[in-house]
Amino acid sequence: MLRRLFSAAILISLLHQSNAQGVTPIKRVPLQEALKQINRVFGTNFVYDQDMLKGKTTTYDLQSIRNKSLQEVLKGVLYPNGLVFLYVKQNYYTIVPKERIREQWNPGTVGPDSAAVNMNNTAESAAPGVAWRPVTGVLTDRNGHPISQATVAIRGMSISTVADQDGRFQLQVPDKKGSVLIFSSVGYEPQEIPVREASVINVTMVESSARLQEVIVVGYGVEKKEDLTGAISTVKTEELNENHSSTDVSDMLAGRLPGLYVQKSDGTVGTGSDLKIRGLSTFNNSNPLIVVDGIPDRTIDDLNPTDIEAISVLKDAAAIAVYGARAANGVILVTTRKGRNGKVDITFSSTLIDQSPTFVYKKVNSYEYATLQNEAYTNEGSYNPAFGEGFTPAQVELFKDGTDPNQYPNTNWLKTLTKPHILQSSYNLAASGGSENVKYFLSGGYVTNGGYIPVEYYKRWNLRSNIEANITPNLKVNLNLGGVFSTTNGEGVYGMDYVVQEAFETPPTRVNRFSNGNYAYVPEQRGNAYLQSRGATGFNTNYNNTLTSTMNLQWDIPWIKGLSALGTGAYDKGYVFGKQFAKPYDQYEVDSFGNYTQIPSYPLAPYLNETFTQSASLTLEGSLHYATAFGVNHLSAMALYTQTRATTDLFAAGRQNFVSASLPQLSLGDPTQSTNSGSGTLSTRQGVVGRVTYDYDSRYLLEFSFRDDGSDIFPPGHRFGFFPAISGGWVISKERFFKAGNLAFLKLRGSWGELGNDQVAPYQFLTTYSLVGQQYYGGGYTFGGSNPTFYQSLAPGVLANPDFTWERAIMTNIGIEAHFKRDLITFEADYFRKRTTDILVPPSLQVPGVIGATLPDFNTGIVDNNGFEIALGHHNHIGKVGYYVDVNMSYNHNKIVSYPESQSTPAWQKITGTSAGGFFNSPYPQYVASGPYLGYKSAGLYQTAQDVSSGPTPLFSTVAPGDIKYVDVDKNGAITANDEVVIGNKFFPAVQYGIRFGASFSGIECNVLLQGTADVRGYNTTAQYNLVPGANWLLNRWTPDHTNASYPRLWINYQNNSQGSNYWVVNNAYMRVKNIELAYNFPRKILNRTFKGIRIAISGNNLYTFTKFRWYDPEALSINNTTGGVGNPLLKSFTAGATLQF
Amino acid sequence: MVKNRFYIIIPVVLLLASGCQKHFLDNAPLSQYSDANVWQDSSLISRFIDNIYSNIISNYDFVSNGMLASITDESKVNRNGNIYPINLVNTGQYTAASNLYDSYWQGAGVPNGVYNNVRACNQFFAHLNTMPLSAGTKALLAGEVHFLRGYNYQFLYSLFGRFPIIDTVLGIGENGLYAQRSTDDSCIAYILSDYNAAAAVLPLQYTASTDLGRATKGAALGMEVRLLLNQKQYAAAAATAQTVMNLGVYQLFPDYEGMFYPQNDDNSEVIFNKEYGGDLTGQVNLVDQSESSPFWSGYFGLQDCPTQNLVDQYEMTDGLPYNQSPLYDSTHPYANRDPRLAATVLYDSSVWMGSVMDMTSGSFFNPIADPTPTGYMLRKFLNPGYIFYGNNTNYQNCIILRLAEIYLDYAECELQLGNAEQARTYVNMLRERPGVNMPDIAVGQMTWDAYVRERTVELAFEGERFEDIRRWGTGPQMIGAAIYGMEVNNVGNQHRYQRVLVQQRYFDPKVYLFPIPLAELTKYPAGQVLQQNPGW
Repeated sequence: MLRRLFSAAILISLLHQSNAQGVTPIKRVPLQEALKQINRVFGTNFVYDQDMLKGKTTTYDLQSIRNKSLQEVLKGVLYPNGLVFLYVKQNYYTIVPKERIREQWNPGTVGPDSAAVNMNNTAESAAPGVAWRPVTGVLTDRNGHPISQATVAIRGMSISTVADQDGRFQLQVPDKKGSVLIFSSVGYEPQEIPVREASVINVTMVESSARLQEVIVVGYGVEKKEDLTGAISTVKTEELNENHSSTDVSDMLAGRLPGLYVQKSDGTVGTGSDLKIRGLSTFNNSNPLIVVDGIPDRTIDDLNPTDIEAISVLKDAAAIAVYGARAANGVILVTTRKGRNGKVDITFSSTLIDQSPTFVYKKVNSYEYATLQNEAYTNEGSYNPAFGEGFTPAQVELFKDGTDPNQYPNTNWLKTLTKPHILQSSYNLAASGGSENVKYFLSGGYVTNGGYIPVEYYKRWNLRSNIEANITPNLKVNLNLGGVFSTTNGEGVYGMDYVVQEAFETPPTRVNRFSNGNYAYVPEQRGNAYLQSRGATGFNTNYNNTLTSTMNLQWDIPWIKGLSALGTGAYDKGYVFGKQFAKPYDQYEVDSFGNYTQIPSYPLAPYLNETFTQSASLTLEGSLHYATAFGVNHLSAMALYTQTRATTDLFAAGRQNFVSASLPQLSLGDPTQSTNSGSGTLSTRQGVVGRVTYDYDSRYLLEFSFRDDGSDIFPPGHRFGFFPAISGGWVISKERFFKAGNLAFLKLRGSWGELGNDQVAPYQFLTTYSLVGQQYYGGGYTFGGSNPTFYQSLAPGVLANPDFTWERAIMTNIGIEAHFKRDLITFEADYFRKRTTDILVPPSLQVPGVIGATLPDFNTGIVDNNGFEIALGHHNHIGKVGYYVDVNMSYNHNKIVSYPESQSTPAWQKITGTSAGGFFNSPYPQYVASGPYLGYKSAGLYQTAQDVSSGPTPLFSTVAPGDIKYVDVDKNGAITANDEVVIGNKFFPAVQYGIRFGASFSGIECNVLLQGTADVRGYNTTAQYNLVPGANWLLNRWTPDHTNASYPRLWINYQNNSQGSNYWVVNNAYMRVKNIELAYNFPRKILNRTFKGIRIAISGNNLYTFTKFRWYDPEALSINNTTGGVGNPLLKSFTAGATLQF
Repeated sequence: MVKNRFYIIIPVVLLLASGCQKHFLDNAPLSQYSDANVWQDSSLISRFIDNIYSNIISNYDFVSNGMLASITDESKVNRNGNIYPINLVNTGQYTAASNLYDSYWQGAGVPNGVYNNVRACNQFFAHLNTMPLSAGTKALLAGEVHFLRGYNYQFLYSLFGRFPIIDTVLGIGENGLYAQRSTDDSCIAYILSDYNAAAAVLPLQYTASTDLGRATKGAALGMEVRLLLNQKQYAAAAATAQTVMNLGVYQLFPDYEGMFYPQNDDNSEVIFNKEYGGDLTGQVNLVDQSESSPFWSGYFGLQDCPTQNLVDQYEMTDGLPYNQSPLYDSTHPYANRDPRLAATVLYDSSVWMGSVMDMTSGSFFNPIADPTPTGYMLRKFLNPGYIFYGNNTNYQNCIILRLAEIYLDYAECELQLGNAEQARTYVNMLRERPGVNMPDIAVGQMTWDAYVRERTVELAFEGERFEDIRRWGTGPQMIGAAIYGMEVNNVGNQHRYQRVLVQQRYFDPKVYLFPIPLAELTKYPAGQVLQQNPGW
């Protein structure tokens, strides 16, 4: 460790020295102070953005300014800081960065000096004889909010004014033809409007192009978009909050960020989407690292979406090397909101959401089901109603005529159980504001969401307090506190998924409720799913309380210009309390004479289980940041040490045989029937991070970064990994030879680096033994016959691998960014190649079972992944109508280059050469350890007996026309297990895209997002089960009279059709109307003084899905989901919401 | 003011310094023991051996997939589809990829694979010399571990036949990993040597009641009898059987029905059993839940249902088969039968847990929703005192070897050796038990068929028939059987009984041995692939 610290120290001292040469004994004063002094001397007022001056200082000798001209002093103070000053009116100057001058006034031709000189002609006035008249107006943004401090100037003259707090301005304009007003403000597109006869000119300002000027949060710092050399995509809060449909932030990211694959397979409330950056590049955990407010491994889904400022997706080595060992799968940076200087801004928003499943399963009725079942038994020659194998014709008739609903019912179980409309509502109250020295953002949010079945619900309270304070001019402190308090309630015994799934798998021939009002016992449901769904079985509630805190102390070291020290401490603490109370209920069975008898329910007596988990994580960081400029050279450097210690502690207790089901407290249970258990974990990491960036005139950009990362999960000697990255950029548009035409900005960039991945089971280098023998978990042994004594027993753990170390990924990235006519058209494209080596994988396919132990991971796998992303944007306004189109598309292709497999595997079953998608989306995840999914290759259905006899010998002698025909891959004349092939190649989408467009017109806004995947397949496991679940696709089965069928002939015991095969692999590409939002911002003039703004919006989510796969939601098929998301369907929703600003 | 600012650097320096904590990353699992702890601690060593006991596979552990009995004509598994692979054997659809018993070769996710247990035994032997135990204790523990390794290999042999003998603790990359299957003779010799080593040191009985259930000398010798008999080494088996019978430890338990009840765990007839705890422990079996009528179990029960074929094997109380006896009344087919029928099978009008069983279709006990496929339900092994969902009963042990089997084994040997009278004596001892009380087989009447019937009835559902059939070569009749059930109908308030063909089963001689799991075969490099059993 010392060695690493030492290297960081050298880096820091080198930087220090290089700077030391430029240090002069003259006193360094913060710019803001200097301006105050100038104001005192000259009586001049300055208008500027506070943030712009942050950290800027001057060494200009302020003692003797009385003898100098104002212009001279301002030049001396501002120019070295890259700032220029513009004359506004007598004794008023505005201060802006030099870049803005170039853009606003004279693109490409006039340097800052000349622009400033131009403006310095303060005495200039219009030609004599011209009359003057006043023009007034209000400047607002697209949402109707006033823009204060905007500059209004007359073209060709140096006369200008600044809009007041309410965006109002008044200016004397020469009363002549051709007068043009120039409206400009930081962050907005400058506009030129001819005055003509108008005396009132109200202007809607459009957010500035300059997405290039955007400051992007990167790992351990911020950088300007313009100067980035890494591949980073960002989404801002406004865009995120277009989607009101979900409680989870990850859901809102779908389709918005190039390179980010968002898949939702689980509609359970409080469960978000699966996120992958640039697809898959390992067969282990491919999840990106989530960093919230600078601290890794926080969760994204319990954040309040309205508290988020921006989310950045870091994709290439240049962007992620600072996260080293955990970054190989990319990084998602979440930044929460901060306060802004100015008057307090209070926002209240509320939305009401109506959700329903995107797809409603269609089931056959009981008569059809009985017929289908008889057909299946008949196909196998085992139709035998006396012993329950099929129904007699009389019984089938009874199902048809429905005269005996108690014994021969027709039940649509899903419909009976579930709610057609699920309501969600959310309320947020936020206040932000601040003064020069203290800024704050405070918010509270509450969201509640019902469940698919009534007993289920999710509630969440969020609190946030982000405070920033300047303790002294050099010392700044930041304190971000976040609290999440959520409650999830589910069914008491089996859980929601299970209850709905069991109901789904229950044939319509089972009765739910008898005509006498009693509920029926249904064997498939271990009771009665309806009662379970209504809470009769009790509840299972989880209370999740998490507090996250981050404190930064930033000290601008006064003796060295540009050097600052930053200390960070983050402490997160979480408590999860779970309470499962299960209780009996009444259910009945009827016999063939119509007699009812009560059937015991599970449980027989109430029981209560409680679990308590405490987790804590402490991260400490210390860093030095340095930035300097010499001429047009800019250099910055950062060195950081970080360490994290995370612990969890768990205990659980339970009692059974409660006397009464009315009170769920542990002490009310039978003390002789109690259980308890507990466990704990500890993990630590430490690392040294460094970064040096250099640019020449913002034209040639260079960056080097590294992380030396240590993790306790690896053995001594293999704990540390060094992960470097180097990147460069060339802003071609800044070259002199570059003709400034429509192409306003053009940048090429490239990066190379090495990253690590350690998301594997820890401590596999140790030989371990566990004491086992817990209720429900097996193990332990009793001796003593009828009077037994129980002993916990000692079970050996995983075999040790002493050489176990990091997975490493080498990433190369090339990118291009172009802006035409500022931001009229923006284009960004990235191409990447990534090779992940040393992938940890157990040699399960090479080491035979006779070893008798669970195998550890070895660093043996290699996966190549490459692909590209394109983002294309068009933002424009025609008259008062603004509109935009943003398209993004991501493509990835991965290939397993090496996998520890057996030599005796036939070529078509080799994993090497196939895709990691087969691991990710295997329909049988429990077998993933032993490789991707194998199955037979189908050649359609056998049509005739001759078809069967002429082909290769089928798997089973029972195969007949209507069964699936398999391909004899090894050409040995018979179908055997040797003919199976790898069929999981496309189980992860190669292409994911988003198309976002919208328009705004005087307060009315419309935003539309389309999202989709292409070149993807899924495994339709549900269909493979015999008769289950009585879905209506069975009606399209093969029969001798219906040979052009999509479904094979029906079966019960025959195995041919339930073999894994690509017959069940379907194209589940889709395009969704992911989001449509229609919003209206009340114009300011009709609001009274109480409100700054009112916005009402309606939106729809997942409104329609274009797909070839029509059985159920195609996205639900894409991840391990054996029943097509029936237990937790994906939802579409309609939303109405309002936002009030005070 | 300036001075104060120096304090601010202190946290930064401290933070950097904290990185110098040398052992910051030296963590280990908080709740697991290491090699160093285990082999120097007599308590942990003892718990390590207990774990091998815990992982023994008993007849009761089969219930989740269906008992071995359902492969034979004793029973029909009451589930359809590929989730219940025993069906696949019955219908001739079982393949090397069917994965029914793969986990018994090596536990995949479950720790009870034979080779996992063998490894544990070998680990024990590898550390034996350095254990801080007295020589006597070491010898005793070694005896138990020898028994356990022999038992596991014998179990493996009974399902798959010849196996690779592993007697060291294998590491990854060792050549021994790709050991081939040994010859039958080597396998048998290896198992016998383990049992002999165990029998040489293990006690006849344990003095402490808390040791009841551990391997004994009788258990090792008794398992040898079964092994030798299945090898048709009749003389050796008979001799060993006599040794066991002469140990003076075991006696027939008078109550055939109650022998399997939890209150009679480890009774005088039991030679070796797998112990189950119940209550809130993890050591439980699922026999009651899986085999009872859904009326009690609250879920699908009736995993394995007795067949008419089995019921027909039970003699009338006059000692004659039902179709030869005047006592048989087709309107009351279960009256006057060998009492072992009532102790083994729930049939129409049986009384069970206080209820009269009604086997008509649509009755509470035999609901249309989930009926028995044969008209019968299993009674043997089930605990009439079991409280479903109550978690408050003592789960019954599973008898692996009992004296009655030794008697029958001995009888079979003597029959094969031509000493029918010797065989008759031991068969009659079973029939004479107070709870059974069937007439003796008369002198000269001890036929092979009578012996087979006696063994079928006595050991019904105990999991031995599959190996018996293999030894007898009667697969076509007993595995490829036509399975019958009893349809019970209500005719004018009277129950009418009608035999119905339930299933015509499929037999191929290859099913005498299960295939080596395909997933295992593919792990061996080309040229070193394990030899598959014939026919698969």
